[in-house]
Amino acid sequence: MDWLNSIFNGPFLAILGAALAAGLGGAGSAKGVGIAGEAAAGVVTEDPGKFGQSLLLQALPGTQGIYGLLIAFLILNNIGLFSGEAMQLTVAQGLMYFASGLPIAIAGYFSGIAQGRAAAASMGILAKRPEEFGKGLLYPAMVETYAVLALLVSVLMLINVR
Amino acid sequence: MAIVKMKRLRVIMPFRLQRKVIKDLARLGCVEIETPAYANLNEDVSKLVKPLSIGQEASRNRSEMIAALETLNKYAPEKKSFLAPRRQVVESVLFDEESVKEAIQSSEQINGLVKQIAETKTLIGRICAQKATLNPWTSSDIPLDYAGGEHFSVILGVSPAENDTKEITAALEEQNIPAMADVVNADKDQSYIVLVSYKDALEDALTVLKAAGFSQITFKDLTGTAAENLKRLDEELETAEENVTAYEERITQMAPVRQLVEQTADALSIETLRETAMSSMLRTEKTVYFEGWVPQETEEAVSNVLVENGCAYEFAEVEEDQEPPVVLKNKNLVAPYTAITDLYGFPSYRSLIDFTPFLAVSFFIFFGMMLSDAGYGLVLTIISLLVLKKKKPTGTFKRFMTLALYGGISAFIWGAFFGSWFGNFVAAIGAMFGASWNLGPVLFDPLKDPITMLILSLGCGVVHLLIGMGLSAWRMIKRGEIKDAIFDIGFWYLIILGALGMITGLKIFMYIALAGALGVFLTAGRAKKNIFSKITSGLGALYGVTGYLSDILSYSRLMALGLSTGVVATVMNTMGSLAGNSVAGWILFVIVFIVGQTFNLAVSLLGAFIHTVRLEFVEFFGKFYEGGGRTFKPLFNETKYIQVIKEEN
Repeated sequence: MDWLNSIFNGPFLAILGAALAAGLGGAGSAKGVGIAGEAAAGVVTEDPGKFGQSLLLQALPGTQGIYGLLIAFLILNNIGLFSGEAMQLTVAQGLMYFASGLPIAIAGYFSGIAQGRAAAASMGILAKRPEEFGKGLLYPAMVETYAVLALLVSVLMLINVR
Repeated sequence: MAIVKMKRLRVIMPFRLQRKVIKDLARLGCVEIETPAYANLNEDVSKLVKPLSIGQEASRNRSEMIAALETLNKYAPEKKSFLAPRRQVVESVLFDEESVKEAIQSSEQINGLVKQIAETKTLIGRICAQKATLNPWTSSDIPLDYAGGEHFSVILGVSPAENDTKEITAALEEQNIPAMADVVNADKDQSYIVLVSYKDALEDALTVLKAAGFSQITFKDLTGTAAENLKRLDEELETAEENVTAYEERITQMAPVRQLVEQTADALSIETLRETAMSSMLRTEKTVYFEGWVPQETEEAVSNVLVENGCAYEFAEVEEDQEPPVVLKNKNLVAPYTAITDLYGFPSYRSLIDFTPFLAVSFFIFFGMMLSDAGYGLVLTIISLLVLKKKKPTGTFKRFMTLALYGGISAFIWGAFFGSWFGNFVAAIGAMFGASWNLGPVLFDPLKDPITMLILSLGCGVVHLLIGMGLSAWRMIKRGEIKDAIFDIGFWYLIILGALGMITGLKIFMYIALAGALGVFLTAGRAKKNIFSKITSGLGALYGVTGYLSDILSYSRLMALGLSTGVVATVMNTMGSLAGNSVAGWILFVIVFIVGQTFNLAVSLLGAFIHTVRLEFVEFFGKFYEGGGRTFKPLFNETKYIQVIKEEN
């Protein structure tokens, strides 16, 4: 059962946690930024002068990917991957690192997409009532709250793994 | 007082003075003209007056000029630094009749050239299309209009490429038809065929060819061979392209009129605004009447102008059923923060309280906590100072640049508190030299001590919320609703402060919280008659505790976003220092540092701004804000390209 051992060991589980955090967070952002970008292209087709503002809106769902990266980096840093020393982690510790990657992985993926939709809808405000652009920025930001909360929980879990 | 007191202005003046008065008032820039619509007047008055009608010329000329300026920017872009301030022009120069005429002429000329370019380009397209149809026939030296001689016919045509043309020849031979199908060219779509046939046999030959998908082609109005025609088209094409270049050249040569056109476009936009204002007024044969709003503090200045021009006027107090526009006035330091209020929508004229100082202080603190990097703070401070000094912006742009300046200072302070200078820049450089340098935090390192950071964040939230609720209570007291202030705000203060105090473990705080809860439960339904609805209202109000809880937890973003800035900056430094202490290593470090930190600064800046705004709008404003106010829009000399300055005399 060699393969079982190579899966159920501390370092692998910790790295898997980091992989999920960066991967799913990034996937959610990619989808979200993509959705917003499609709408942005439509707005700019009509009025190229709105490029800057539409780019700002498009960038909003991009933070989940960064949060995922952040957690992944912290996990990898904590287990000493960057210093190149052999990692001494029990399976229990590995599982804890794994779990600490989950909040931002899950919330990041889904909130990224949802935020992308909200950003795409706000493109309508930019197109039709550009003077209310500030309000349009706020709707996607409401979605991001939950990614921020997940990030916070991930950080708190991660920092306290012993 | 944050919301400026307004006065209603009513003016009657002789018709001939109208333009002069409007010009003077626009220069003053503190009167919003709002005359009752003609349709709303009562019958006695409407018999006397009629609405003014004003020409559309100014605004039409202005759109001509803006189109011309766009063309100029396309063909002869102006080399101007982003930081260059707007040009200043004296008002009399702006409206100089000769130069206005010249600007109109120039822009018409430019737009005419653009039209000619467009027409020539259409022509070029047509020539190219014709060339494409002629190209396959170049190898045939039969004139395109040649239909044959006395006894034979010549027909040009095509057949689909998938049909084998050899079969046509074979079939013609087999049936003994005296005709010849010569394939002069073939591409991947079609074969180009010249059919030569005795007139008698033409029908038979065509039957054979049509079986192979042949269809005839005629070239209308063309004489001579394909090659000759192509040569002629090439010449035409060349001339057309030369013309386009010449037109473009002429537009480029007109670049010097840009300044004149710009200032005249602005002059016309001022003119349009004035005309719109004038057309909203009511007139009789000899007089003009208008109403408007004036901030009380400028009453004297406006009176002076009106007296000087000999108008009859009065300033009246705001009446109950009127909804005056809103101006927020604040002392210099907090003034830029009205830009944030503007974003949300102005407060109602009768919302009484001055919240801007609280908004300003909390915005300053929160923005800095979320950006929380001393390096980024410095960069932001320097850039915004540079823009403010060099570009000398006005209006909203200036307010946002000032906000950026304050935000940069705040981020610098918080960054120093938390020991973040471009992330771990100092430590990373030290590590590359093999030394262990460190620029420690003044307060504490939020990564090492997250719980303290979380408590700090939530603590900020509690204070912020209590202030928001306090503002609401203050307004209730001002309105004489003291009972409401105690029941709706006071009891909640007890609950929140009691619950916080319970952390200390003292029993007394629990009783305070319970007393508050009981108070809320008993008083929330005071407007209801029925005992059951009183109970349900009380319970419903108590359920509001979840709202306060989620409001407070929302401030945890102060910590999360702050951490995110620092950690991502550190990630960039770590990636940069991967190649170690060598020449290549340092080059990599510098590149990664510049690109990575710029990226992170941009993302963090956006995040910090938006989430600060969110905390203010949703959590803070939600506690007390009475919106629905209308922004004060005075008549003034609004310009885009230049800045109008006073006459020197």
